[in-house]
Amino acid sequence: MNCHTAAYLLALRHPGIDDLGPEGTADLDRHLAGCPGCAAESRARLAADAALARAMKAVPVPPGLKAKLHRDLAARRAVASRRRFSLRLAAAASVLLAVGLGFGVAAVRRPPLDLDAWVSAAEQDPDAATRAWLAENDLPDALPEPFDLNLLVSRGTERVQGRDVPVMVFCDGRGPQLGTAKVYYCRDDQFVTAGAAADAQASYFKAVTYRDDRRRLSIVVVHTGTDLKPFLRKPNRTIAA
Amino acid sequence: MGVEGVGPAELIDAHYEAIYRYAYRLSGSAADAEDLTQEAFGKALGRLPQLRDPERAKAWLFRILRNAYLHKVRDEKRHRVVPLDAVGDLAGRPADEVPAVDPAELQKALDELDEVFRTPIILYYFEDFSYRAIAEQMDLPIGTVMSRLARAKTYLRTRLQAPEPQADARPPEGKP
Repeated sequence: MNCHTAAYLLALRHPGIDDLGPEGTADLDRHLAGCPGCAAESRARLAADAALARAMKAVPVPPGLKAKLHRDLAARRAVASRRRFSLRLAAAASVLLAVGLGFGVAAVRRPPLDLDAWVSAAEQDPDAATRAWLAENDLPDALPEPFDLNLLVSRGTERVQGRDVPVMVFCDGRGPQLGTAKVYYCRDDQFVTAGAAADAQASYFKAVTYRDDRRRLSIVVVHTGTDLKPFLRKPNRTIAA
Repeated sequence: MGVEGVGPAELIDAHYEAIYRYAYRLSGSAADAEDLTQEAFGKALGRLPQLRDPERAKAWLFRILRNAYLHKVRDEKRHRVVPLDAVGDLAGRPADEVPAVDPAELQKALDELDEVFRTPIILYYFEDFSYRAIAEQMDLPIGTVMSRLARAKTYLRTRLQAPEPQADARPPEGKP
């Protein structure tokens, strides 16, 4: 290693973290051991980094902050608990009503189980079936991105924030982990969409929104991974959304 | 309980100090840092079931905090920042030893930096994030992070060796 390479690595070296890798670090250390000039530069850099790190961490934390955060937590739990109780009460009432109605209606309208119909449904062309589903739900006839419909595993509704939301679910099993992408259609009469964030991120999932002003709905795509590429149609695929 | 062994109270106890300090260095204000810390924990606790790996709790909280900060400043009038694009990626040798840095002066220098440079430099020095971890926090390629860090470090060292920002600490404008 020459001094030029050593200077480059010294500028990138991150004290306490092996960002250069064991071999890079070992090579650099060998050079420093035999080069007083680079060794001096290394010391100067370490001193500067240490001084900046000390100053960066010198932030006094307000003494009452922890207690305030715990009070916030208790308040949120109380609100959530009341909300859960109300929802359970409403759910119980709905179930009682549904069971009562269900017994009456289902007794006279139960169709015979027809496996041929189930198999035919499974063999439906995904493109045609998707278009039919979108039309049936009065949704845009094109998806917000060119999703690969071969990866579509279900269409239906999902209960989100207390609302039944039409959703399409895509799964990609080609990677080391099963990836999922869900396309939700949120109508303006179900959610207040004005001022909502355009995206969100958790540890494993991301969400992005698309807007269809004509139909007054927002399309929310929640997916694993850093982007939607794994779920999009490859150039040689023939099925188009 | 979000994941085994990590409940909301434990999450606060384990990370509130680091979150507050990060918020302070990002915002430059104790009041804003306190608000951001409360907001970040509020959001995090509501999404706790999404946290599957307790080892990632701190990085997850840091990301929520940064998003909260970015939302907060998005509509605020953008304050003057120092463009760093013409600064070389590789800092020259520090002129001399930097025996001590005044934390308040450091904050002034950080406030002058655009957020795209401020966030990685805070994470680099304050929480000892690796280049890869910073890249994941900011959804950036690792090379971009290394480049921004090198520029920000050069600027901080130049800026903190002088009592006030000097001409050579203000390189020409350009895109980050």
